[in-house]
Amino acid sequence: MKGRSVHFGGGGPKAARTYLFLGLFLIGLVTLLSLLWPFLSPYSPREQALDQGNLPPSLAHYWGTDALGRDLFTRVLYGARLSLGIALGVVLINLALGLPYGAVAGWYGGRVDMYMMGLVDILHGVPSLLYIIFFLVVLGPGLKGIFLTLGLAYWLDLARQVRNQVLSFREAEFVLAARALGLGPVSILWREMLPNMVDPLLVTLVFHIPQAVFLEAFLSYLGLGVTAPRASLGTLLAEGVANMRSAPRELIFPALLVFVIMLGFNFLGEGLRGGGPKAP
Amino acid sequence: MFFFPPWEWWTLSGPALGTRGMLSYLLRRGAGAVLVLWLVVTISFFLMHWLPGGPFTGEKRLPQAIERNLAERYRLGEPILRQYGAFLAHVIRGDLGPSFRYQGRSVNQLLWEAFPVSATVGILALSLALWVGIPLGIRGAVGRGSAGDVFIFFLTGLGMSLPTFVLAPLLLYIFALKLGWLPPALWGGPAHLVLPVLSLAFFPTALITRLVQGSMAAVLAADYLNLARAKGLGEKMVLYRHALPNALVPVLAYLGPLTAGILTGSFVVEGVFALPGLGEYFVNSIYNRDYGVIMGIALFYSALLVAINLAVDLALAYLDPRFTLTGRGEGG
Repeated sequence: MKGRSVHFGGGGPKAARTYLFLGLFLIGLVTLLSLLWPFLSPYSPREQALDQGNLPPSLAHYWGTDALGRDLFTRVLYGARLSLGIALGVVLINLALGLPYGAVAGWYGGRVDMYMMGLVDILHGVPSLLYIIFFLVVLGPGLKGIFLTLGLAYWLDLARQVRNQVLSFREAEFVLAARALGLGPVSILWREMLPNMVDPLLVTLVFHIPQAVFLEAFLSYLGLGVTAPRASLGTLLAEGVANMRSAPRELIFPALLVFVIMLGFNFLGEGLRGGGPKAP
Repeated sequence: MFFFPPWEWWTLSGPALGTRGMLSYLLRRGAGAVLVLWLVVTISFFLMHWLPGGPFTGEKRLPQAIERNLAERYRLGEPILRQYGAFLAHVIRGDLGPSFRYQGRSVNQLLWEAFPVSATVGILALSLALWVGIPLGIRGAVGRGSAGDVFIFFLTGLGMSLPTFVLAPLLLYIFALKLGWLPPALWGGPAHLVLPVLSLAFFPTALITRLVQGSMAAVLAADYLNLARAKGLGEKMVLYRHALPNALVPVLAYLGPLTAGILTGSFVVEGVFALPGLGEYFVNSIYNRDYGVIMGIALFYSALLVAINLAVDLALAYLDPRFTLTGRGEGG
């Protein structure tokens, strides 16, 4: 299929631009709101006002308040900021692990590559989520555990991708030229190869963000992630489920935010990839 | 990408790989699976013993009788390697140990009672996802670039952005609490299955649609289909007999992660709808810090996933020997 520009499904390149803008718009909206909430709302996400509990939405409290009198709008946006921040951090940690690992394996090739990628294959067979849960149960919930476990969740994919690319670039002419100029491995990898793999790498990273948002929310939902007084979207969702019968808005608004964030990043990823699903 | 016309599969799995090749691949992958399982058991053991806050290092006291049983079973007084050996021997014999919370309750008993519930819901959800996702994906791929294609793509994008823990409570709220059409919880007749199965199936349906749409579009562009058409075959025949089997290979290859996704979903869905399944017990044992049950279920599910991955890899190797060249095998 190489050499032929085939766009699979989703309407092709023209639609890709639409997905890209849609994704950017949604992510921009959520990011702006979650960064600017201190200017939009006079309330604190943690401070309780027990006499103001369970108020319906009004001009004073756009989305109403929860049982402890905390403004829901403020809490959800604060939770979105925390969730996004964690997802971004997690993706960067994975990048910091996978990039050098894959680069070393791809650069040296041969036996080194065989052993390094063999390890990746074995680790890939371990059902990671069960072990993330198990680890967090033993370690106790909290931000430290989340970064420690989710930071190890995606680096295998990245390492594989980087390794394949470095391996394919090894004999490329621009690398030979750089070698002839006397550049060392680090500067060839960093200055010559990396710019050539930024695009596919970026697509992968963009798809990892909603997965990380999902995982963090899932773990917090189970009570293993972010703990009080902090509250991420997952924590809020769990509270919302508990109070669903009396105050459904406590469920609906965090659910909406999770949905918009994941949709935004999924669309952005599709847009960057060029529209339509990749042929696996 | 897979351009093997299905009527030639037998030639490929014959001469290209052969019985001997297949056997050596089976041995290699089987050894890999055993290695992964051993790794999983070992990690579990040492996590339990070495991490601060673990069950054997924590200062929280358990009831006397349970503590005595634990000490005996895990040989707590003996050297760590001895303990590890005993643990490994138990697991190999299929004995996953006792609950740390409830006296006289073993993990095996729990599996026996609760797994059928989870398996019923999971298999129904997976079947629904395949039954809806495959035709939808074909439709999307055939009308490439059309409004229907864009619509399906958009719809699956929405589907992939609605995690189970968002969807399940929303469905429960709308259809059980607001409209009162379906029972909100508990294990009973078929009506009790509708909402859990729907919430579990949603995400996999979107994923399968995407997979089939992508692979089908790739297959449809292949030359062998033009040949089939040139030979005068009808479009339906070309689509379903010649294109579809190849387009389904990626779905098969994705069965492992798909199952893992259903397991993840079941942790939430069974909680939301109060089903007495394994996921619900798993989550409850997380709240209770019942390490015996957590570890037992984790080991059981790991073995299940590893077995599915192994079966998928062997099936793929049989269908398309090129799969034996790359080190595959994906976890959840």
